[in-house]
Amino acid sequence: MPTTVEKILKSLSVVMGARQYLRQEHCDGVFQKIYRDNAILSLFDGSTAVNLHAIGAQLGQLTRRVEHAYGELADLSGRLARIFSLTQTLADFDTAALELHNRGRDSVLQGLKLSFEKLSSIDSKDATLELIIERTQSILNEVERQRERVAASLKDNGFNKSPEMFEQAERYCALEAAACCVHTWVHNREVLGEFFKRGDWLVLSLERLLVRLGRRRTILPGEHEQRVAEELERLFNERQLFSIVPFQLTIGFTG
Amino acid sequence: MNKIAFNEIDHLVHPVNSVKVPEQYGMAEALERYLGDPHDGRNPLSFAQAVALDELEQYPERACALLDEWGLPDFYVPAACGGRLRSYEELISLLRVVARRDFTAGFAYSILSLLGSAATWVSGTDCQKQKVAQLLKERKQIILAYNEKSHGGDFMATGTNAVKVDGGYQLSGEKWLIGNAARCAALTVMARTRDEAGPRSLSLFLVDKSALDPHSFEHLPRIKTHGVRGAHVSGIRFKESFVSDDSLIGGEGTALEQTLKAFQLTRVIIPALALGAADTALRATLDFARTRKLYGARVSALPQVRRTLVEAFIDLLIGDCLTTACARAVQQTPEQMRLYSAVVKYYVPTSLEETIDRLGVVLGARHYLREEHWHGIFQKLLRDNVVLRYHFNAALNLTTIGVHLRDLAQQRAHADADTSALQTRLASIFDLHQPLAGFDPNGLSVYTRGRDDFLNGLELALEQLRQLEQRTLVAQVERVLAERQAADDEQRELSALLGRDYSRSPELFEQAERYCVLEAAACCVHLWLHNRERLGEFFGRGDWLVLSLERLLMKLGQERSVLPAEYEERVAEELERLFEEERLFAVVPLQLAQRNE
Repeated sequence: MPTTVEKILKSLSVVMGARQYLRQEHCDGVFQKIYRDNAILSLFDGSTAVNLHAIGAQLGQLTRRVEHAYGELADLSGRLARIFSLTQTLADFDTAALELHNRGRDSVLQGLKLSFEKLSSIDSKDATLELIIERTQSILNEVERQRERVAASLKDNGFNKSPEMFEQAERYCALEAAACCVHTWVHNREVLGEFFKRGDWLVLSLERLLVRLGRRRTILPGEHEQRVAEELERLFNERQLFSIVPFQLTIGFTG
Repeated sequence: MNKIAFNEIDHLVHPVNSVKVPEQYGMAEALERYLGDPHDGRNPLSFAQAVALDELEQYPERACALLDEWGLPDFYVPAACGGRLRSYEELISLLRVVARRDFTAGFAYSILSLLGSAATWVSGTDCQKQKVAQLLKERKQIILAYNEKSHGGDFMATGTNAVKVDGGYQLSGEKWLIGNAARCAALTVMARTRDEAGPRSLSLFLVDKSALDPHSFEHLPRIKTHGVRGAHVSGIRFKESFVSDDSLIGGEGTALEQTLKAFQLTRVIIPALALGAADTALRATLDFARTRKLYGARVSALPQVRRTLVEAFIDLLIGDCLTTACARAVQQTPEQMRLYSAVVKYYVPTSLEETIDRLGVVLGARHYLREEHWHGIFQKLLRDNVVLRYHFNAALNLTTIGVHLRDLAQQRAHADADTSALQTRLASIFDLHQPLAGFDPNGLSVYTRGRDDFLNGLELALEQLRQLEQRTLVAQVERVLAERQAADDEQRELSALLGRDYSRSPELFEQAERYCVLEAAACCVHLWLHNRERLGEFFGRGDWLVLSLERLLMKLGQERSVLPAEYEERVAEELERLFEEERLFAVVPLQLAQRNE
């Protein structure tokens, strides 16, 4: 997340132009402050390198093909619902259950196929849904591609701590993010409002992540960007958080 | 996945290759010696001083006095106007030396005056040229005053008016966010001479402050900036300030055309600062990685760290190739500079900003400190370098490139058969030992009409590589050519698909970005071909070129090839050697000032 936000700030700064550079004026110069402050997040409590290493070291196990037995699939499905459905009650936090190693378990990415199947079974000819399904399939293809690449690299030896490992760890993060977006939509479509449900944001999210994974950008119908831009304006005007759950922010003191 | 065979590395030539430093780099070495060890805090252009003044938000007066004494401003004045500016290549090497020590000095002392004077060199009268040359000779500053608070870089909305009166004009209006506004002796001001929309309403004036009624203008308060904190950024307000007729540059209503030409000079120079900043960022990070031990080994020995360091060095070499090519093209193919100046100004600062960011990851917590390691210079240049992103902003440059894409694709489809003229032009640009033509401002054009020697010369380069039996490079250049073809095809498809929306579409921006990467690749190849026997063994062997092309192909979205480890090893060795011998991380690795013991 922090490295992604660093990138967001950079691209926004291009729009801001000279004002991003000022320690005064526009919004009292808060942009350059956020820009400097945010940079500390990727430094402490596990730097970027430390985190990528933690992911990379597990990639061999994480990318191994998992064949779920029928009962396990039901478990996985239930687990995903409990994680992603914001209306489900969470279990109490059990500190004793934390482990040092995933041992190849990653419900989020390993469960992507389940959500893909759920999407495919929705009885609708909605064009947005079709775009989502198509892009989810592309993400699944990328998962497969990574599986093959990591397997090949592991055979070559020297994968551990190699630059290749770090790159694959970064790709893994993008795949996780894509899976989270899909699961969140699948499990909350009916409860988070019209904009969330329409799924334009999900089309753009998956497209963005696919571009990050190296795929050439496709030209999407303009309406998706249009509707997401409208929502952005609405949230701005109504002073709500730019978020999946756009809660109300303080309305400024104008007196 | 692309896998390049191990034995192919042997096909790289190992010419008997003595280093012959092109003479235009001698001045930069002399300036380095003059400025002394940047690690010695007693030197005005040292890292310690640069950071200290930044903290205090003070202008680097002592550093500037030192540079004045050495005569750096003489290099801003074209030789034809009595100065020492013989080539932009030389000027850039001087600015790199300054910027690697203190970006603020490079920006506030050098770049701002170069921006301020460019329009005069391009279209000023002899008298105006003499005036600016004299100002610089007296070590005074001249600046560009275009920006206004309410519409920034949108010059067409300029609100400052110049009303014609007897014998001159009356200037009224406010220029905001102007570096050195309060310090300079003269300004190049954009003002409206006609009260109607359209480009013919704007004119440029060379305004000498000493000739103004002192009550007719005032300086605006200083503005606090994120980086270059020592620079004096403020503004100026004109109140019916009288300027005489002879202050008009190039005739009424010509501001836009002159500006588009003047930018072709300044945009080529500005990347020098990014190259200087990236050099110090890499040097400071390498110093840390070489001495710091983690998990029982030197940090620099960790494969991921080594990859980052090598890639940073490669990024610098790529940026250097593109900058050097564009700088030389100013004198050899000025008619193509509208395109090249936008490419270099966009690509080099943007790509090196990413490089510096990645180095920050290696430097870890130390990149965040305003003290300690190298006196905290890293965080300073990280902030400073960002100024290049908005100064004549990135989007404008991409738009400039974007408007050329259609013609470029069309021209390439009907490639001209006169390859020998093209080959001669390429040699005159890329062979660093060939003398350059004198700078001719009349050769600059606002439109390049689809001409692009760098990329159109790539087939010729491929042919030479085939003759040299450079199989790895041949394969890589073929991939670059395929990407060029894809870009041209995509241009046609997109403009057909998007119609009128194409010229403002985000897709056009992305295409322009990709085009910059292609240009960079072409420059690396040409520069190697034309200098491989005279710039030393490392340059000639070409490991760096293989890695550069690989890196650029990845930027175009291609998957990383698995290259033999030797390439990276040899480039890493060269990086270490340059560090140990205190040489610039550059195509021409200048001798830097020795460290005081």
